[in-house]
Amino acid sequence: MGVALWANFKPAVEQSELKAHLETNEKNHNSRGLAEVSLNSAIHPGCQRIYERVCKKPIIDLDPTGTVHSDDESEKEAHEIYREIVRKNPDWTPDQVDEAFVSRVFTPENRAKIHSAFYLVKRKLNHWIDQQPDTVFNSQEKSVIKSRIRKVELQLPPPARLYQDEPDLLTKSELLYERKVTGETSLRVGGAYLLFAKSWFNVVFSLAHELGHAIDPCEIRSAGLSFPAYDRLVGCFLEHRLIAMRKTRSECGGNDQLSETFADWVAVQITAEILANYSTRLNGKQMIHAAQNSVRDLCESEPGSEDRPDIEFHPSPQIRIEEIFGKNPKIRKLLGCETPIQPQSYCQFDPTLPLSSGGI
Amino acid sequence: MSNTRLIKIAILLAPAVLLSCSSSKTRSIPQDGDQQESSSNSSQSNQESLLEIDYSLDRDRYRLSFKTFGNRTTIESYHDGKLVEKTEIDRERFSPFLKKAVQSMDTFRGELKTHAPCLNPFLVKLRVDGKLEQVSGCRSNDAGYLSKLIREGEFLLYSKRD
Repeated sequence: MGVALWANFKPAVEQSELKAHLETNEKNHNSRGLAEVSLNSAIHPGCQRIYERVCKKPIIDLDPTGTVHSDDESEKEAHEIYREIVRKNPDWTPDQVDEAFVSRVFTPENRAKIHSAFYLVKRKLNHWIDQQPDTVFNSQEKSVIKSRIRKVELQLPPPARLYQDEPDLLTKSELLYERKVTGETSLRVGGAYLLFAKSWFNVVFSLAHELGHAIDPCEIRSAGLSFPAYDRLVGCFLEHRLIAMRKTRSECGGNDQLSETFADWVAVQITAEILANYSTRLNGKQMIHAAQNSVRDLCESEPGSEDRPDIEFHPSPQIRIEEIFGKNPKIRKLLGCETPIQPQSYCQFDPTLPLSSGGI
Repeated sequence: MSNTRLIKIAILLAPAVLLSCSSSKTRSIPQDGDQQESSSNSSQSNQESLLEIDYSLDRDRYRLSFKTFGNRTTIESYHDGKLVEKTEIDRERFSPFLKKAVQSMDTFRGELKTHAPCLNPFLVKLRVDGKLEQVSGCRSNDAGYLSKLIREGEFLLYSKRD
């Protein structure tokens, strides 16, 4: 397991540290220098096939913040750690084993990384809502939406008993937004998710997706709220087939992908902005790999594998990556894709506004 | 504990639940284990009991399977249809877990229902003497019973072989 490079990308980072890291990276991967490379130098011929670009794992990952491992790999590692603890301590109870596992995996460094990304994403989400024009959300609507974001509590062990109602999550690779029957909302992180030096931008996307659920149309509806801007957006999702049209689909009920599509769409806006903040610190190829890493875990499994992502509630990996991610104008720019995308071809809260409006 | 007694425990603890399914949840339970399911069926005649816990977490689907033959219980864990772990334990170590699973099935049946779609559903199946009972539910509504059951099952899996 490598050093967690994400720390170099915290907002308070010293530029000298960052440059030193990137220079090391340059030597290792024969990449070009920090300031010399413009995005245009790395324009990829596959701008119409973003899914293939993202899902074809590079031989060398130039994202200096880390890489993306499959859920399988992460969970196998978690199982090994758990098994080792159990076998070294055969008299321990499951609770004792859980505590030992947590101290091995939920390290201060790993916790700090998640904390940092969580609060960064929250801030960006708040700002994004604030920046929406009055034609999208009035001040009361903005206040309600921001309040929902603010109330989501990040729950990270230790102690292991923080997950006492969900102890199996400790060895899983998922991040989960949860709303209890009491109405409390939280975001929990599986222990396996913390293993390996995961790309900072993948963490950002994953957290933004989960926080997006706090304000997704189904959660809003469940709270007895209704926003006209959401109705327009949902109409666009349907028109662009970002939600599978099934005979059995019931909006916000069975066989419906609305909340997952919305969460992806929100996560793309937030991730694009955070990636853009690093555009002066990463060279062109690094930026492309960082952007691709942000959604790489959404890829379909290798051909022949029985690993089939659930597409009942989630849109297919192709829709998620090619359409929701790959057609976002900011993402395309970061990927070095200048192919013009018509404003009406990407959904936004107010389709009459140019795509640059309501940004972060 | 004899085989007969184990079967009796399972039946006595869950007399009213055979072939019932309590859930009105909107999401179908993962059927990722088609392959395993068919192999389960093919070996059913030799199999004394089967307990399977299928559950979803976000996009991922999991299965914990316990098959008892004679005095041995085989535990298998699957992730998205792929076998991850397999081990054997003595039946006596499995019995307390089976008892807890049967009790949990009753609990799941009485769980609080909501109208919200269930994003993380589960299905627990128990087959004893060819009789199948199953109960489904939603992870966020069950006050943690399913997760605790899974953790205990995994604990058996990780423990040293007998």
